Amino acid sequence: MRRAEAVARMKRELVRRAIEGDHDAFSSLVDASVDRLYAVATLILRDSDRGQDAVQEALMSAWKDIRALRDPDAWDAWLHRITVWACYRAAKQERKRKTVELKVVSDPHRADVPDSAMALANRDLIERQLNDLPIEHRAVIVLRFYLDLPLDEVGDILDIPVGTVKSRLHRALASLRESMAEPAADALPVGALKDGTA
Amino acid sequence: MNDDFRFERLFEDGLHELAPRRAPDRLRTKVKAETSEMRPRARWLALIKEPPMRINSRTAAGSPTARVAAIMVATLLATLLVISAGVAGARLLAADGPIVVDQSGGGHYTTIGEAVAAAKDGDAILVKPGTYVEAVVVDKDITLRGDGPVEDIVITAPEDGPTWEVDFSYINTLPFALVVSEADATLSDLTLRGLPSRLLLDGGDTTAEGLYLDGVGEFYTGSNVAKTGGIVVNGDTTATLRRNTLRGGGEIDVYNYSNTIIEDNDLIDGPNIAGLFGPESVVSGNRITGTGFQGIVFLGGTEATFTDNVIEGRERAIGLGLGISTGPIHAPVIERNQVSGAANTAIELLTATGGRVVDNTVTDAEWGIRLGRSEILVSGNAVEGTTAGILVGGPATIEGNHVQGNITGIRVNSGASPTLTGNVVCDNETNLAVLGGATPILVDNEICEDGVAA
Repeated sequence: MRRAEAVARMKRELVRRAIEGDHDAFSSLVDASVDRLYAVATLILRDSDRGQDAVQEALMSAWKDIRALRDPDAWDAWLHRITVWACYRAAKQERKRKTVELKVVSDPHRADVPDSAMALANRDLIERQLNDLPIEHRAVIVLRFYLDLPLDEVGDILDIPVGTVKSRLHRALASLRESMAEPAADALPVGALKDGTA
Repeated sequence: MNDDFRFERLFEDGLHELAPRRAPDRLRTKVKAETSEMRPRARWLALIKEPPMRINSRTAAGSPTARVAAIMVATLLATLLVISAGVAGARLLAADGPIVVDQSGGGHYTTIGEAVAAAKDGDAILVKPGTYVEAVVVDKDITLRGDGPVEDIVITAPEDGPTWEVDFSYINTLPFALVVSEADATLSDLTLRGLPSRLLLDGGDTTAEGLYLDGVGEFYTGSNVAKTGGIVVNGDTTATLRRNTLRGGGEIDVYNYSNTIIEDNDLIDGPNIAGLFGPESVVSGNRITGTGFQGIVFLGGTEATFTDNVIEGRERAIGLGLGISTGPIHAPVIERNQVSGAANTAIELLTATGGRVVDNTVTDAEWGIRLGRSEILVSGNAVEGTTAGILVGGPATIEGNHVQGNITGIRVNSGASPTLTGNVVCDNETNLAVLGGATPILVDNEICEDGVAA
């Protein structure tokens, strides 16, 4: 607990210094958050390249607009929000280009732990579920189940009421439940290419 | 197991399986490199750009209210720029957007201290009406400005608040409400209220204007006990004090020969201007009225200028105060001041070397212009209604003065050797009194004797 407080205090100090224009402090914050943001963006966009672009845009924007940050303790939530909005913009641009290719790639940095058959099946199932959801619903799922954020914070980040968060979660869970009842005949291994929409 | 909970767990596990563990190195490298070339934009610009959020959002960087306010401020600034197309407008736009302090929570901060801590050089802080019980130290080049009726924006030093070290020989530390320390700051349109709520300027180059000091510091009561200022300019400081009002309380104190411009201030019932003035110092256009012992007291200094001040009803209006030995006064300029009702002395220079006293108006004083042994030019002054109009004790040059309606017009003390040229000295009970041992040089004066020129 004491360590967590110390970390929080250190992060608060870094944010405060970054707000004052200290780029070294901002770089430290980037190091601390870029992996998480990249994971979030890749999950939401279902594409590692576009996820990378979205995170880059988000972090650039975070630096440019850091003086808008009122409360240093809100840094993470603010960053998540900027990232999700960058994802939305990326998806919108992608739709405009009418590109439907969606790459699902394996993570080259993934720990070398052998998958169990069940884990692989679950992953493929979730993958299909995510791909079938609109991006706004995917964002809810990722924030809630990947970042483990409370419902109200998910609503804050996405600028939607908690009721909408709940309904989107419910729909996603219902869809997953239905999928579990069906045979996963079309399940594809991770790393394959397949069509979908963002 | 609850069904929903099971599927939630499935999502959690699946997402963690799917998520990449680490971002590519080139991403973090690129972000750091590109941001290192950029500067964060001004807060008000950042707020405008911020996407809309719900009002109760705790993650909000800028609430809709702040965003709307920022847009309004931006619009206003842009309008000002278009209208004025002047330097001031350009500066406003070039500077960071204002940080708003509002005790009621409507601004970015609720205390001035927090806002100052968050500010950077060049920022402007606007303080909304309220009583802020704080001792604020400004150590950045910022503007701190009241935004509303000045009497409603009050800073009061807390009881048992911190103190600040000053150089004055009598007192080492003073409590304060506002200190500017080694910074080039601008302070305006604020009220400081209560005896300990001093403004201390310690280093840097600060402008304080439109402040209202209400009963701040202690004032001279006529005893030889030094009291403490409401505004203290300490150490190596360049300060401009303009259009401030000090009512009751202590003086404007300038220590250690600081270069200070003190102009167009209104000092009422107690406060005076006192100090060791540096060569660039100007004390001009001030009104010193109401009750009180001193007006302008220069304890020491070189080439300081005292012009166009109006001093009414102070016992000692302009001069060396109380005989305190704090160093020489060299070449002061005392010009175009209006002094009336000085129960003791209107203009007093006991030890000055060089300098001039010109074009002043003195009425209704005990002593008019009292020079002691000063070597100084006294020219073009009008002195009326005193016990003694001009008292000379040294080698001064007295020329072109009008000395009328006094008990004694000009008195030359023992041992003095002044030069009196072109003076009009009439309608006094005694126009010219030369005491034993004095050797004045009289050239082209109009000195009346019972209505007849001598």
